Amino acid sequence: MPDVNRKNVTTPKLDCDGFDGPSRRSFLKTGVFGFMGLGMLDLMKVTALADDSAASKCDAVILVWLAGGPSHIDTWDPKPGQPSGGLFKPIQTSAEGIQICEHLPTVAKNMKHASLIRSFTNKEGSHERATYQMHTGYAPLGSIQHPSLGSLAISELKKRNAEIPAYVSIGNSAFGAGFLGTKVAPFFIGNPKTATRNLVRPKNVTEKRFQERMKLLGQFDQSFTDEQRGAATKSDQLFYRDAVEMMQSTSVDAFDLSKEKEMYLEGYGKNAFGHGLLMARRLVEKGVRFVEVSMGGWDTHAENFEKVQENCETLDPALGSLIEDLNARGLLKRTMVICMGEFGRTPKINSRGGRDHYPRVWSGLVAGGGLKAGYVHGASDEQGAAVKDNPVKPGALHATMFEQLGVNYSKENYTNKGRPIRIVDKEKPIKELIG
Amino acid sequence: MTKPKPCTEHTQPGARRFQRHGRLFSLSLFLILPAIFLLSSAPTFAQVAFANKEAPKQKPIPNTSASTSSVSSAEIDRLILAPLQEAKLKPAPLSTDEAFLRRAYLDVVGVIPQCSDVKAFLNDKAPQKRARLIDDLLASERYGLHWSVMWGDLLREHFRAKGQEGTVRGSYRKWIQKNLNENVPYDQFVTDLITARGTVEDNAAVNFYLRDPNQRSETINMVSSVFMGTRMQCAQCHDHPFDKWEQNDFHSLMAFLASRTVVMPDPEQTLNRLLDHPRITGELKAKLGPVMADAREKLDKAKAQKTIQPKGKYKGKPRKPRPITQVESLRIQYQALRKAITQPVVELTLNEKQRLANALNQQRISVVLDRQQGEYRMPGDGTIGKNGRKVPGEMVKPAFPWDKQLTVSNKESRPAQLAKFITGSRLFAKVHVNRLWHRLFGRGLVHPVDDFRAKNTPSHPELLEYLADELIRSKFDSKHVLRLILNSKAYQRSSMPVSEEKDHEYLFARQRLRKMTAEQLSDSIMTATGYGKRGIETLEKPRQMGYLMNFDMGGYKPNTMEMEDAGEGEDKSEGVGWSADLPTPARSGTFLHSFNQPAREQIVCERTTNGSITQALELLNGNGSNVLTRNRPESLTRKILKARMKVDAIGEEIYLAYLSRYPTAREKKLVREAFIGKKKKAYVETIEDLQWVLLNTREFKFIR
Repeated sequence: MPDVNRKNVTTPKLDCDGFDGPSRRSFLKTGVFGFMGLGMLDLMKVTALADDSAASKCDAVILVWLAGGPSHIDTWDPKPGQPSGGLFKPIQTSAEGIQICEHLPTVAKNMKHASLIRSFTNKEGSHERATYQMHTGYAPLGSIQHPSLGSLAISELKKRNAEIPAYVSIGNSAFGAGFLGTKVAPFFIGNPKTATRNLVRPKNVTEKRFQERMKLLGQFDQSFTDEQRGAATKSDQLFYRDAVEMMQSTSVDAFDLSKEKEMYLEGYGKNAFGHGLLMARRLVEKGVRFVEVSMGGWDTHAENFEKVQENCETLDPALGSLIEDLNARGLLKRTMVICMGEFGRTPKINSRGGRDHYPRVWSGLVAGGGLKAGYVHGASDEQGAAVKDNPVKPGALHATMFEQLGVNYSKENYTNKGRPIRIVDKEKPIKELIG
Repeated sequence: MTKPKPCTEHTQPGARRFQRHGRLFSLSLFLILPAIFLLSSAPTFAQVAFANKEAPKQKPIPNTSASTSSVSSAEIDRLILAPLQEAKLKPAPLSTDEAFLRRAYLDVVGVIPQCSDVKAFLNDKAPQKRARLIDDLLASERYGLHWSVMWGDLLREHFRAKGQEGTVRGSYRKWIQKNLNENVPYDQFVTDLITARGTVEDNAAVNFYLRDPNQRSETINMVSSVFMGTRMQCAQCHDHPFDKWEQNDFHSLMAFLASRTVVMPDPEQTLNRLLDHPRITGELKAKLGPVMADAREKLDKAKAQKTIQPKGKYKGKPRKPRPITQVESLRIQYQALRKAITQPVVELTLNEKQRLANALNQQRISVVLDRQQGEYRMPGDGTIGKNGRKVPGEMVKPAFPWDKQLTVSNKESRPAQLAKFITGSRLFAKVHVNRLWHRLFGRGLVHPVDDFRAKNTPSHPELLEYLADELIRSKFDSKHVLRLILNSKAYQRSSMPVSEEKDHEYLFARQRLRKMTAEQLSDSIMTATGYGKRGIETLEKPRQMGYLMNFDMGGYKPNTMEMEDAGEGEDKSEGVGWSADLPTPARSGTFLHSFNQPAREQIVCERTTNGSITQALELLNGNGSNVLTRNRPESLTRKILKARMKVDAIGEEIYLAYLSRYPTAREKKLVREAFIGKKKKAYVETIEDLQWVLLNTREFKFIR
């Protein structure tokens, strides 16, 4: 098993700035964590880049999924003074000319490292269908289970660290490998707090005893192998192999938040979502390629403003800290953060003080991974009711992401029935967004 | 409730039945011998009378289901064989008794058999034993438990969704299980759901509406997808892209339920009911005078509030108050009530306060009723007015999209007419039998099961019609159809691959290897390790079982599904029961969640069977395989140690408990080798290890 980390400690790759460049210094002045949080060893691991990096501008993606469809007007695309504008006021961000909702101050502070897309547009207005489309690039079809973005990415990319899964999904997202098969399925973590629950042997089982058990398992499982069963049982074996490899690696520490410094736990927020994003950062440091962290509660059909404000109290410290932290560690350059939901919400405020599903226009945030920073792509109209310019279909963002990862987004994969399915259907990368 | 016990006791219906077989066998010998002796070709009157007199004593279980002799699955087999012959495919042989037993248990009652059941079945020499087993399983109480999981997935039964007090307390699930175990005709079941009105207390079927309070489009999606096997949700906003459904169809269906509404109860009524709650005992009630007065005062104040102050500031100034909505007002009123109870004006113990708070929650009972204004108007989204479509605000009349000839009258309620149209439609019957078939084979005759349309043709059209006929002929008796399928050779075939050639899975030449669901797996682990439900009840701290299996009780008391009271001396819980008794959906990170129990947000017709590293880790290092296998009271390990079994017997016992079969010669040798060089004292470790190993084999996790 190659020890990627060790290799990179001895031959650090210094092409990514941020080691002690301006971004780090500014982090130290203004950062929520301060200097003590950055051990030199962590900084070395930043360089855990695989050799295929030449073609790519990005090594890893963190997808911050806001389930339910966050109100674009009340987050990234404020419309002050308009009938649709709602109750929140905009605040100035660290990026010139960009304003976002007042309840996202930490993100605002780091806006100069991030960009906004304010012209997402789509046709799917049901959660199930839109979520599927934003995760796979395709509308749901009964006959084909499309692979998720993470599975597509890792099926095309080399593993950066063989010891831990290349794709980790934290929270309640259920998107997996689809027809690409379980080989590229995500490692699911329900609650980051208990992530290591089964990653270590029970106390009463010594390493020797565990090895004996595994040997016995191989022998006793033989009869089933002899029966020449299908793919399902084979993949079951593969998962066992991966699980045991993981147990024995040192990289699993990334899943152990008790090893994280208190100020980071505090800074990201002491809740499942904050812990999830902090874990995402730890995982990316260890070479994980794709992390999805999901947060629910954005389906605000009633009492929209109370709920959005409440949600922002969780989202803001976590997302803001993530961008700040990645940047300070020099990881942001080659790590893309995407924060989005399945659609926006109506400009009209309904009788229950809520906003309903609205796929015609909505917004999202992107950062790092070689994308422009402090930039706004596209715009909605005065009321946030339609795209004013540069419409972005979900596929275009997907294509941009794959382009940066160095993945040929127009490649065709084949379903088990032999049907060719492109990684990204039709759409092309958003050129203006690439730095 | 079937309560599997440690193997020494024969308590499951199946086991009892097998004992009965034994007795019947000796009884018949007793009858036959004198008959032979008398060389008589016909039994004498005395013999018949004797047999009749004795027979009732030998019938320990009343069998309400139809007798096996009346079931003939020949038609199913004829209709399955013909296409196989055409494709020149040889069907697989019948599966072994061992494989059949385990499969039938898992498919009908959702758990593996106990070792005593396995032994009894394998020793039974009666030719009818498979048919008898099927009857016993269908009559078992675990039948309702197991199939309620499927119905929970379909009807999205959800314990934590807001404002759904009925589902919260498990009344929905209990209602479903009762219907299943009483084998209420399927058309009646569906009619009861669609026509349900009133409160959870009167009629737990109202949970059908409470699941989505006042979001009728979700209810309509359930109606069309679950009962009619039709994917119509696209047509809510636009014409269906690849099916015949138009937007008008969806909305004309909506019009049937336009008047149905869910009303949050008046807080005042809830308060009035508070003292009637059974948990508010005399002693507590006596103290409550001032608390009630305080609550009334707070409630009146909350009721009087007409505006609401938005949070935060706008341009440096506090925002202007805005008029309060009805929902907000209700919420504030309930907050006021809660405050009066949690911060009472008189001294109450923590336990008393919690009892009060729980009572308040439980007395808050929503009502499903019909509004006066029952006309439905086109909502303001989606395609507008194109090609003869309705425009927003235009009135839509109810019409049944699957049969537009049916006329809607004003004499009967519209939900009742919808139920009548649905249950009277042949598609309704076909969808149901197809679903049952799918459950027993892992593939529907029409597949996916919720996608009945012209272009998605059934693999065996005649068979589908035949099963639908049988369902209708039996007056919608689901167990009758299940019995027909379970008794067929097609169902009982081996799952071993028949040939090297490409498998035509839709031709059903063999059974499919299927993965256990989360619920099947967890209940099977509890059964194999020796606990079962019964075992858990006798544990010192019953609730530790939830901890052991990493279940999430979410604050609910097992079985009763009432909110937990933290007070001491209150704990009379029976212990965590089967997985189907637990609150759904399981929280992320728990055992059931790791093994793909769905979130119950979307209708789930077919569970995902994906494996994962998480699952492997759960079985490698989790409590199921590591703690339950240890030497504790009620565990199989303890039982083996107590019985001072020899090595071969240990191997046999563990194989029967975990894999429902005897070990092969090779496996016996492996077991012996595992004990070689171990001192007697270390035997317990090896016994644990062997169980850990078998639990982790693929044979344990897959249904063969």
